[in-house]
Amino acid sequence: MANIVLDNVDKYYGDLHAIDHLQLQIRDREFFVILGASGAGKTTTLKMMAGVEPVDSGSIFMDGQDVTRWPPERREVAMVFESYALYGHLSVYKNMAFPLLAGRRKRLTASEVEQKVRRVAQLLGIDMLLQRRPAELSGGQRQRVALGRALVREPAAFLMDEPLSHLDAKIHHQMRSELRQLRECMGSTIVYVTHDYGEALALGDRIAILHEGKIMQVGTPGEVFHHPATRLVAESLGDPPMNVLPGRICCQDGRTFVEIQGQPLRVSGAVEGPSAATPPRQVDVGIRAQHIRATQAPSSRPFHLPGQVYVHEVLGDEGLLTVTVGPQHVMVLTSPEERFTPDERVYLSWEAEAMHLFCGQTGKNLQSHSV
Amino acid sequence: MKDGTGKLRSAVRVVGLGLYFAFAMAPIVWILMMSFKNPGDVIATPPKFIFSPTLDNYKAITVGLESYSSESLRPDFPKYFLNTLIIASATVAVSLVLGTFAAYSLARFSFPMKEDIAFTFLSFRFAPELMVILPLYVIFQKCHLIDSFAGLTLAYQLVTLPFLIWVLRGFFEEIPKEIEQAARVDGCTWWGVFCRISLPLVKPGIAAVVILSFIFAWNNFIFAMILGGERTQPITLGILGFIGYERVLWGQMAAATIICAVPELVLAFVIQKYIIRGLTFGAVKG
Amino acid sequence: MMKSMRMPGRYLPYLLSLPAMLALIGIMYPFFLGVYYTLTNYTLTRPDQIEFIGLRNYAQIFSDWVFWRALLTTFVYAWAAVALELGLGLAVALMLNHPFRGVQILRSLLIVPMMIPPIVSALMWKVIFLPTRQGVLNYLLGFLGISPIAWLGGSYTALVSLILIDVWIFSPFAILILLAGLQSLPKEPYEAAMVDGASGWFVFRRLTLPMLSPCIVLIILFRLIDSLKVFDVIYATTKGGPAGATTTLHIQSYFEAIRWFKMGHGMVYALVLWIMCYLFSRVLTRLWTRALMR
Repeated sequence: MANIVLDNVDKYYGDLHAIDHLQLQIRDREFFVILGASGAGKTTTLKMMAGVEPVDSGSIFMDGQDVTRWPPERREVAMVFESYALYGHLSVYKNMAFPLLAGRRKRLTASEVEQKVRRVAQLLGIDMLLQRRPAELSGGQRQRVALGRALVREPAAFLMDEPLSHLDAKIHHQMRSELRQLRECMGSTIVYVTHDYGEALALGDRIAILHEGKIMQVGTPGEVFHHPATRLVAESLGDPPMNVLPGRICCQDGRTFVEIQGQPLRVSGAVEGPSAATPPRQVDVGIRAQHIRATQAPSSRPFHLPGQVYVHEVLGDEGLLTVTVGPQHVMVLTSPEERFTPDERVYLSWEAEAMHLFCGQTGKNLQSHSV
Repeated sequence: MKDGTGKLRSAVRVVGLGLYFAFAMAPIVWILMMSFKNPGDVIATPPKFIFSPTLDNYKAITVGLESYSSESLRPDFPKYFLNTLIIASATVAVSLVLGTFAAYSLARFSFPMKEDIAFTFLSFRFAPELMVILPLYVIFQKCHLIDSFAGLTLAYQLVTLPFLIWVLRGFFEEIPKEIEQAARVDGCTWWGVFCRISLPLVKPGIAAVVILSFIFAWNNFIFAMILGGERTQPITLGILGFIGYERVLWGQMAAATIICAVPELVLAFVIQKYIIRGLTFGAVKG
Repeated sequence: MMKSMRMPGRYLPYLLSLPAMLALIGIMYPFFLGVYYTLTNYTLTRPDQIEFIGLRNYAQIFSDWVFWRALLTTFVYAWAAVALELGLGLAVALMLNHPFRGVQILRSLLIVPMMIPPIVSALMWKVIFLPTRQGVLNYLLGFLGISPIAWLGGSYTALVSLILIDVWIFSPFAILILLAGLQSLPKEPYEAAMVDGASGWFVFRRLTLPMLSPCIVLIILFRLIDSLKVFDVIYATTKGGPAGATTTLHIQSYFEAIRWFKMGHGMVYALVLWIMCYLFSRVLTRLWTRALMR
């Protein structure tokens, strides 16, 4: 059981600054998710924790010990690789028994090894596959073997690199819920890397959003979803992605307004920066599809954004309306009964509280109630 | 394609292959026959295809035969056979020990001048042997390595080591890095990874290389001729001994030829799959 | 060994390569010693009297027509052997590339000529090449009305005979590689060509041959260089005769050094051959990597 701390870690691949002054604190027994797009540096971060990739500068601590220079076999971590990395020349049983037999840990008797392997195999539902070779298994089965190989060890921490990304959609969801249950059995610290925000929100105690080697925000699923610290964070969570519209902030009579396409909307809550003295400032206004209302006639409210229907797709329980506003498309979630025709004129409105304001230059969330 | 063309093609194929394999097998068949002929029949004019076979030739070279005692050279042939076996086995063993690590190192690690070193290793496959053997002769004389098994084994490394390194490097590079990383995370030191994961995964490569190196060492002539001597004489040299100044013992030479070839032929049939793999490595995929 | 393991040890690669590095030095040292000898008058009968004589050996040898004839013989032998092995190899590989009864057995038989030590095969052929009607080849040719030929006795026929032996021993090498290449050819281009109605010969020239180019270059690489430095076959049969007709650079090197004890001269011949082999190997390896990339 371990807490893991990454302190100012840097890594370069040639000229590429892959990991940039990374600071992370992962608590003991936490299910910690690192979310990021491909190439953001998630796998590199994980491999540095495992000891498989060297750190160029900075330190890694586990349970207070500086393990930065420790070789992988000395750290008490287990890793599930994205490609599973199974030992093709060994049977499933031997694959799973391997960590118990390798290395310098205390020797277990053959029956102890067998007991542990069988227990985990039963847990994962692969106990009938123990004599097969990896080449004979399906993708889902191989993934379970990779998981099993990590589970037999009862290590201080589990590191998982996109374990579900190569599975078919059907198995994907099944495994996701199984993982949640397994988590109770595992009881260790888990560091889980993914590019799928749904997995992140469903599984994580806390999520770190990684972008180009830098951490954008760390928080609970609720925090990062409802109070994104930057525009990038907001855009990476949610489907459809958050709409971002350019706007200007200005102050009038001691109140702060944001102006979008000439339409002013009063901002609720404090906003960093503008006062009567400072001139209007460029902001990016973020609003999620589910918070927007689209009406055919301008509502009684003072704020409504005119636009033209581009397309309306009704998908079972809900409708997805794409509206052209100025040069860009805005996505709105509608109820399945509403009907819109292409090129129809519609008016969009939303509550000020649902809106997020991001600085036009830095992308930082300007409202203080974000974490 | 019309049936007529198909039949024509088949006919051409049958004739063509027949001609080639007749060409390929005929000399061997002829020598085989020769090995069973008695001195009178062996170089009869015109050559005899029908004769009464005898095992005398084989007996002469292995155990020595009464009636040949004045003519047959000392039946050292079994000794030559043993010498060849010792040298070939030692060569392969030494190459394996030395070369496997170098191949792994070239495959996994990057260090300055890596490709230059790799090419230098390889380039000696293409060097004329005498370029190295002649100076080696001088060096061996000073070190008293002439006519020694150790000396010959060392000299043979000239050819087997570069080949082994080149082939095994390719095989090691094929192993996905993540498998080795997984083994390290699972608790193996680099040595553990090497022995338990990397080596087993390159077994086909090792098999191919061992067989081809063994064959090279077995077939070699020039090294043994210049750097060898009485004690270490292998069969490739021993066989020349049947050609004396006054007479040539054709029958015994033929028998020696057959015995010489038999181990390799057996090896070939038993593991030909690996030989072909080893030879064509790089040819198709690169 | 497991105490302070840095990951991975910075010296580990060098340590692992150490034995092979030593072997490499073991190879390089004699090589450079040999180059040094080319500049001396080192004679094996008087090993203690070595004098540095600069390029005199080279001058002597380059002005000796024996050298130039040996150079020519080396070239002719090598290129003829390669061309024949490639041609024969392609023909046989194409014929073997069909499933028919017994094809497996034939493929197994292929390796046989290569399994016999070359010197032994050469002796075998020496028997077959016996002049007059003693030799079985002449005997069989007699049925076709051809009078006996002194195969290894005539200047031109000797070289031809040797090339024949080389082809006999090594065409399986070409066949095996080409066969592997043929069997790994993708099917789609051929299907497309069939749909386009291309003729057999056209398909062969434009599809098969280019796709086989890595194999072909590889065969040329190995066979050319091995034939340039051939030794066993010539030594077993003609020892360079008759009257130097089959003397290649390698053979001459042997005579100079071992028969006439002139180490300096012998090394010059070896070095010239080495340079040739080295240049060809570089060019052909580059051609090979380029052929692979297409």
